Amino acid sequence: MLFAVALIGAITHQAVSVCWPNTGRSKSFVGAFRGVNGMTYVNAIIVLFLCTAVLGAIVYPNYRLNVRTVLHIRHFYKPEGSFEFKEHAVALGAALLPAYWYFWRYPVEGNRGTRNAVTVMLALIVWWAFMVGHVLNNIRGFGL
Amino acid sequence: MKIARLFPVFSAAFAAIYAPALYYNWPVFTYQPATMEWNLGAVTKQGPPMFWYGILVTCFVGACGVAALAALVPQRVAQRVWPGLTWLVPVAALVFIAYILRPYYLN
Repeated sequence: MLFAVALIGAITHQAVSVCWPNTGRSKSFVGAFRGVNGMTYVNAIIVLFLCTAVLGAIVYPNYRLNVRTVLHIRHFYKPEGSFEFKEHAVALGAALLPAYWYFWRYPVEGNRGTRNAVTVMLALIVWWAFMVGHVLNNIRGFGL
Repeated sequence: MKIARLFPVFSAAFAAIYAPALYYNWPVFTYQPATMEWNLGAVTKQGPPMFWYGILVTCFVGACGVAALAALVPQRVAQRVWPGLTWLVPVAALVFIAYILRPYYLN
């Protein structure tokens, strides 16, 4: 959970800084949020992503056995499908990490668009995984 | 040759292999969480089987193989390949996965 929160903060910072860069000095909160140096986040994001994914993979059999079967029996297909999509998105996100590292480690002007797209894609995957994980964790509170 | 230049190839290849590996169910092994057993290949026994770990290994090995083949390609040829495939292939894979998961949302 702590890894996931740290990861979502870091990747959101970086994604916003590449989509909406702020090159000047800004005193506003939003300007400062946009003005971070994305390069400094790369290694931390990779470590946090891997730690979160590995911990998730360790508890995954428990979900598969005790939670997913209940969702299925009670016909909660949308939450179940959302988790299935999350599982695959996280796998593809983890596989994107070597490319993500490469495009940040060797920044070339011609690769800027690709670097930004990979970063935004990772951010969207992390957000999806975070939201789905929390909705499923608290699903009984949603009246299901 | 810097091995790092193969990283984008690995990422794109992993996604390209992942979609058919999921659709046709090509895990190297299956984990049975109910009995805590590991079986070679796609095996369904008592309780729900978990193919995901095995599919990850399939894709990892396949992507390593593709990256190894890409290492044989001369750099001047490799530089002509559009780097955007690194994100476009995973996006296409995710769209395909969403398509095959559509029964969850249509039921």
